[in-house]
Amino acid sequence: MLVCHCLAVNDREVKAAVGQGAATVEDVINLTDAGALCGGCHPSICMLLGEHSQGDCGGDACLAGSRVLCGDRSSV
Amino acid sequence: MNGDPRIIEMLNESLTAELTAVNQYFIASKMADDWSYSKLAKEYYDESIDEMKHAETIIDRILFLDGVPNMQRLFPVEVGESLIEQFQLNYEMEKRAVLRYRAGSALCHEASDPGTRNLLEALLKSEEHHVDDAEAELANLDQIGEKLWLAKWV
Repeated sequence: MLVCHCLAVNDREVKAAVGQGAATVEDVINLTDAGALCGGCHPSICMLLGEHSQGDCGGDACLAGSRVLCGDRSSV
Repeated sequence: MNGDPRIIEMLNESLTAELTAVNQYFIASKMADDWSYSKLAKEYYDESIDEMKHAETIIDRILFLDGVPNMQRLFPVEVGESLIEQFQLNYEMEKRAVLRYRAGSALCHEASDPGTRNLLEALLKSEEHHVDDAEAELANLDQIGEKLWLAKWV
């Protein structure tokens, strides 16, 4: 699945970054470039971070503006 | 007519989901067409238009309830990198829509708003059909295998 549409980064690349220890959106941006431009994929990145830490997006990983969208996705 | 703010918020969340679905089906259609799966491209195109009509119904209802339709918010548009991945992502999206409309219908009952509930239940039936069709297709895929399943959509 394409996560970052601006820079064409898929979920496998983001998951690999999480596997390498990325714990925040900022970390994922630094490791993969995903989320570096418009920010529209930050909720998706949060979700992938959340999946990794068993549903807990973890404070600063979750941008305030994205929280509702994150919650919507993880609750279903 | 002044609507319950909880109902307007729920309708706006549904609108966000419908607008997301319009885009997700539309890009799936265009990519399927690019990969020469013209039959599936046509299905996705029609579903994209259906979702736009759902969005229209919701917008009309929000305006009727004196709310402000939020046209600039989207959930993540999930673009699969293969036909099968796209199909599965679209199926997951439809399942979330069914759960959302069921919860919305319960909220309408609680807020004594049968007008909105009727509207949501019509949308719910449509999404349930999408889920049912997708489940039949996924069972089909399991039975006949990827190559034959893909061949159906060329």
